[in-house]
Amino acid sequence: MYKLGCFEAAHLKALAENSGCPKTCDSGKDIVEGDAKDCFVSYNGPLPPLGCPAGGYLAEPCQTMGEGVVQGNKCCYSYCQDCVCGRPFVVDGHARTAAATATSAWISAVSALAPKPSGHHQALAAAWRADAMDEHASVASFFAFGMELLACGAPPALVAAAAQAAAQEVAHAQLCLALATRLDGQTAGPGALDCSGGGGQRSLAELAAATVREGCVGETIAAAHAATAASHATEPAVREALRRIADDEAGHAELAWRFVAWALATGDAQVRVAVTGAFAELLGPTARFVGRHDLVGDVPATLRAQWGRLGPDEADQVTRATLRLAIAPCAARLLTPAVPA
Amino acid sequence: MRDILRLRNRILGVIGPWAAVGIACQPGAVPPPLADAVEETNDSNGIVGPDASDGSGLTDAGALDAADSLTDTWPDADKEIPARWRRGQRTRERRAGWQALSTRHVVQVGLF
Repeated sequence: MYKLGCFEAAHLKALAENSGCPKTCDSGKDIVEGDAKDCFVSYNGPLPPLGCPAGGYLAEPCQTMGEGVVQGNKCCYSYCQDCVCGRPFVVDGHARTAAATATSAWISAVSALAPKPSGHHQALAAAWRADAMDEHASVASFFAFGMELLACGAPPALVAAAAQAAAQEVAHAQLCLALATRLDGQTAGPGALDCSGGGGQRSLAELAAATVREGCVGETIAAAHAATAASHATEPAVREALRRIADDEAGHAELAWRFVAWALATGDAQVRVAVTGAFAELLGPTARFVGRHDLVGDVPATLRAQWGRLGPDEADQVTRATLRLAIAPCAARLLTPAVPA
Repeated sequence: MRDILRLRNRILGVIGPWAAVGIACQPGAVPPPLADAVEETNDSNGIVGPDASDGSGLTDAGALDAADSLTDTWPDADKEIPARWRRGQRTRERRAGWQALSTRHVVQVGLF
């Protein structure tokens, strides 16, 4: 789920120095747990009102942060909390999702309901419903991405892949909502999504850097999480849904990597700088990633696995393994010039 | 682990450039799933180097299939091959590379 966090300069400075102080953040608040004043301060970059530290400087759990936006004496970031959000719908630096409403329109065929939903079932349903809202927003994200691909003269194969990805995200949202409904019997789904301002034209360098964050890293991790959850799921419908999502998300990750490779090959030096910087932030020692495990943290492991949700430790292990074994070597390959034969 | 390596192979397959799938294994062990793909074998140390007969490396599909097969066979094949071969390099250089890998005595897979 994407949140918006705003931080005052003093808090940003403590967060950015990455000394290991315990910290947290929440939507629209300035919360820093631990004693920030005891943190060793080493960050010398801009702070509001002059600028904002890059999201990669800020430690967990405010992770996968995009660019900060100065608002008065604060920097505001959209960030992924309690999830590895695949492809967010970002407008003016902030991720948008639709508000949940009472509707069955987005719920695909639901098989037998859980006989008597317990608190654990409700927690699992909340996690699946939150995933559905993200998938729903991803539809808009891929439509916007397709428009930006057209605007920067991308080849038809990439444009077609973006359109296909948008359609797949529709199916994912429906699958996730069907699972949530099976768990708690509720018929809730996404309402209208504010799409105003979406599809704005960014430079090729900006688009490539955003694609690194949201696609090459976010969707690659999301695909790995889904594949791992599928391998553990014992509920047939859950396993089938996760396998489909994992395969599609892997395809979306491929699209991201293909686009960035194309941007590097066709763009100017600014593209390479932007892409290199984005990977450095996300693969560097300050980067941390969190999964949507808090929502189901109290659910027994067996029940959690049955319904296709990863526990905190497992999600973290998969994330780190994906960064080390898949994303880092692929980024190195992407950024390494070809050796002449 | 296997899912992540498969994911890596998918991504590497689309971003290129790469030349071939490289496999090093325990001396004497030839990866069965690759038997049909292998065009060049150094029997003395059990190192196998898949290579197209024209020296240009495997096709995209062949390389990815081989990588997936190896990942299925040895899920712990998580070591990165420490050297790179590029399209068009001479066979002698490629053989020297395989020879160097044989000292590691571990299963490795990668597109490079």
